[in-house]
Amino acid sequence: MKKYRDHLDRIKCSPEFKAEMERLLSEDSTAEYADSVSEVERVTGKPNFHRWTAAAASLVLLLGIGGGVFLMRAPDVPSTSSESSEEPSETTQVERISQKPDLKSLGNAEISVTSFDEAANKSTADFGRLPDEINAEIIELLDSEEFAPAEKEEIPDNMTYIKLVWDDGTQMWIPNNGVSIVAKDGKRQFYTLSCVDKIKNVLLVNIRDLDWYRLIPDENGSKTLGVFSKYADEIERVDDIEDVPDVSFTFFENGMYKVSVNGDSYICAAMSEGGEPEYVIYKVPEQMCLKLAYIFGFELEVEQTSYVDGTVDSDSAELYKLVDADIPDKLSLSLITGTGQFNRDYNFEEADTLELVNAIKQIKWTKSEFDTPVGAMIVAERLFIDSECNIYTEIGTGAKYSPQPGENSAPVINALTDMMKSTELGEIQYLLAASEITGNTVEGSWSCAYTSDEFKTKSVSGSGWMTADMSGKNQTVTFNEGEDYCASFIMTDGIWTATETGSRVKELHDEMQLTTDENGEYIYTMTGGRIGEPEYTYNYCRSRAVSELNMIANDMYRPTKVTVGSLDIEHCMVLQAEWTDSTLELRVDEYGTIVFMKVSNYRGFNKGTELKQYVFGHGDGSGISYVSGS
Amino acid sequence: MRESVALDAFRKYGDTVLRAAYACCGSYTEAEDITQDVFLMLHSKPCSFKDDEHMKAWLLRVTINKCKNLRKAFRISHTQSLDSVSDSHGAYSLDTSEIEMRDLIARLPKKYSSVIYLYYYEGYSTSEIAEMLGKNVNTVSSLLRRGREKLKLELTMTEEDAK
Repeated sequence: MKKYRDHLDRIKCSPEFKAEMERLLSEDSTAEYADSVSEVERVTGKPNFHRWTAAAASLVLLLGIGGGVFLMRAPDVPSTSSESSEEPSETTQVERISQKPDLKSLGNAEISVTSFDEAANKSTADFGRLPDEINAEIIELLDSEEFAPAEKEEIPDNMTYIKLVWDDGTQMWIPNNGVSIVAKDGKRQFYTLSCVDKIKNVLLVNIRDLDWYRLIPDENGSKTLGVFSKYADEIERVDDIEDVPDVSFTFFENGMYKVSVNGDSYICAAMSEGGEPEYVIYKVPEQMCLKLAYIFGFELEVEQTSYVDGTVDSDSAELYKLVDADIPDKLSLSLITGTGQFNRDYNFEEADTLELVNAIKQIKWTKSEFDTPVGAMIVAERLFIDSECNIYTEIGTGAKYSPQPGENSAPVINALTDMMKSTELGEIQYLLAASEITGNTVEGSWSCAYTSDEFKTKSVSGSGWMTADMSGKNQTVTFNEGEDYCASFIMTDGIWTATETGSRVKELHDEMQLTTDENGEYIYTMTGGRIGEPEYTYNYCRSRAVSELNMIANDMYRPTKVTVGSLDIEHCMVLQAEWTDSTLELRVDEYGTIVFMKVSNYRGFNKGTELKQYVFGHGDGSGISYVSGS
Repeated sequence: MRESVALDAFRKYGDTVLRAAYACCGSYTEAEDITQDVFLMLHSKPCSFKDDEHMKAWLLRVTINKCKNLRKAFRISHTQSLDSVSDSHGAYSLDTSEIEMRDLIARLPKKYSSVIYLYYYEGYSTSEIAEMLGKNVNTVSSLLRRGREKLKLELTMTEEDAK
């Protein structure tokens, strides 16, 4: 990166450019602007036919074919007005602008796609009202358009048209290529629009909003062969294929498309994921990929093919089917750490499952009888996945699928991790959870002040030293060591004992039972029942954090304000509840260790407990040390 | 006469905008065009800014959007080859390694180049970049990771080719 930065350091405005810019910017703000802007806009030159046809072909995949006859036969196209069809082909710039339709009061838009099959039968896919933001984006594009008049004769055959109908009666037909039609009050005008491709891009990247999903077959439809994706910015046309196939597309009434390549037919549908075009191809053998790449003008990546081509073993195929059946498109994962009474559940926000499903299908599996999973467990709908990447259909009674020897399970684990970390909230949860599984014992100084119970009858402030192992079973906490009143709390394998000088342990922790009282030294224990944690222990803080984040992930609670950020290696989160001064601030380091947590009457936190300050530090005293500011 | 906002902005951030445009498109000539467009846009429709940082962030965002639009326009136009602009490198002369670096930058997909520039050169955090580009922080992080890998791979390949 140094080379990169050094290179950019040398990029500066030349003296000539600087002088020219200063001249332009010193003039009246309207002077010469148009000329100057054209310097940038000059790149919108003649279309590159090959690239355009590639883009158009992909759109044809979406929209079907046969639209050319639409102009001749579609009954809903308004009749041609004599004045519009006789527009002169050569017009001045001023005349062109004056012919621009009035776009000020278009209002909402309805969108449909009309096309025809090879027998000239009309098919219309009606997608209803266009979402406001997409409509606004399209109007903005049209607003900046010159609307260059075109001749009716320029309308090509074999085109599919997107039709937009706005509230004010304006209708617009946007073709795959060529001349657009704008109609209002029974008259229509023909234009060559330079923004057609941009409009189609807007529609393309918002396909999900347009409910194009209904074009994809349901369970009775074809199996998905593979997912082919390419980022829009990376799309390059495959130009070096000599064997150019004959291709035709057929648009069916049910919204499916048939692609015929050299006489072989394949069923296709398309979708978009996260704003990026992504193509799902059905019933297409792997060897067809290059040809399809040619057709689409994209480089296609085959992420999963072995499942459907019949080469996969029965155990793997069985699991793939289970995955298809049990894992929906979006899913909220849960992660269970620990065992028995020390279980802690992390519930993550909903995330896309595509990567996970593909990762599972990338490797081959061996089925065995049920087994008892050990350690952390991820719950993905009805499937359970342990840290060794074994998949269980049911804990204790179902089947267990393990990666076959030599298979790389990393993509599955990575996919699960990506799902858990797909949101900012999830990122912090993931780190907290990971620290339970792989983290070491933490130790450090602490200090806190809080009042407990709803009547705030108990106020505690103190400081000391703490250690806690990440399982939550072993902890030590010293309280005001060396002072007149001091105590130490020790949890060994889940059982708390306390030794103190003075007699305040009961006051500090209600659930402690006095067992020994000798010479002013008191020993308390607490066994059985739920695990009570003094509010100033590490595990207490972690439990509270997990609980709060789970409530948000499960949509049981939504703070009015959530801010998330990073402070070098730390992930910070501040949640603010419905009432003023009710906040939870949490800082987690890169290893998932809580280095700071402050609670201010957060959602009536623990019957009114208020942790005004809670600070952890490193064992050597030189590490992380944050002050709460309270 | 009071100095225009755009002129003031250009004097402060002219190099920054040019550099950002260059980082996104890999061509000095295009970067100059975009820089001119950005400041003339501000000149014709002056905006008010909270402070200089706000102004800088606005300028960078507009610059990146302009680069994106330029790329889109290129995709449906005759793409100008790098060779044809190889002599247009602005205020300094390029040695071989500089030309290689420029070509790498030009080849890097825009979505990577903008986040790499904002993160590694301008020093913005991922959350600031996310806000600036209207993307999710996680998306920015993954773009950064993939872009860095891509750039590193390209650099390695270039160095190996040179041997």
